[in-house]
Amino acid sequence: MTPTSDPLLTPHVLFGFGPMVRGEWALPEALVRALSKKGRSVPSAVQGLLLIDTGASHTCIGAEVARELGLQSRSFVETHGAGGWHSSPEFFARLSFRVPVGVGKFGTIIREHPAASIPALNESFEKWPAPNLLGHQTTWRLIGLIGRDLLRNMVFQFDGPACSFALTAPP
Amino acid sequence: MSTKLEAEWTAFRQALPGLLATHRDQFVLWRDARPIRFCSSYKEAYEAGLDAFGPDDEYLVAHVAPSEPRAVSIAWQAGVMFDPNQ
Repeated sequence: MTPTSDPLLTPHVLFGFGPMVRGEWALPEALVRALSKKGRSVPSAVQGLLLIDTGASHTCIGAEVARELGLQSRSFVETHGAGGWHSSPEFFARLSFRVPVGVGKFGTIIREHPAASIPALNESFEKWPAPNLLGHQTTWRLIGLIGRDLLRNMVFQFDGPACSFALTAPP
Repeated sequence: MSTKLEAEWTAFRQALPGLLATHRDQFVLWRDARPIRFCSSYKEAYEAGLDAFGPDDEYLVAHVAPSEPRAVSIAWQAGVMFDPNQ
């Protein structure tokens, strides 16, 4: 697939919404093993879009995504925002996403990582006409933000004039 | 949100100054208001919790580091994350 044929790499999406990648949240492998050992079912991965957000200190998961996966919070992230200090539940999950690594080339990055939850993440995304912008991909939803805690170990190159970006990570 | 986990978080925060002196930058598996095990990564502490308590019991995993509240996402909190008119 060339960059120009990918709806995520059109100027309208790239500059209006930001650099987004396709990906999924799933249960960490150790949790899958623990559930399987008990004969319990394992929820399917939740697929959607992730925004590469250099303005985010933490990688984030939509709170509704964490609920769908049946994840239990294992910690909190202390944040400061317009409403003052507050704690957001943090979930440990398996994140995989497909990234452009060069013109027409893609790779997959997989990490098990803690993620702060954001309530109604997709709701705020949906208020814009995202499905129209993404053409036929009307079922896409925003499922998370890739923040600096993951990006610190990756190389992110954003080329505005070429309407492209690349993200590479060590194995 | 779990009240028990919040209680564990509160207990951990109270113990943090002492833990910083002895286990700074480690990750702690924490339960019943006390440290169970110190690990070198979040993943290791999380998996130790799964092994010890199973998938359903509540336990806390925390980074033994000074607390520095930050904006999770500046663009998100400022309301300037998306602008489809660009």
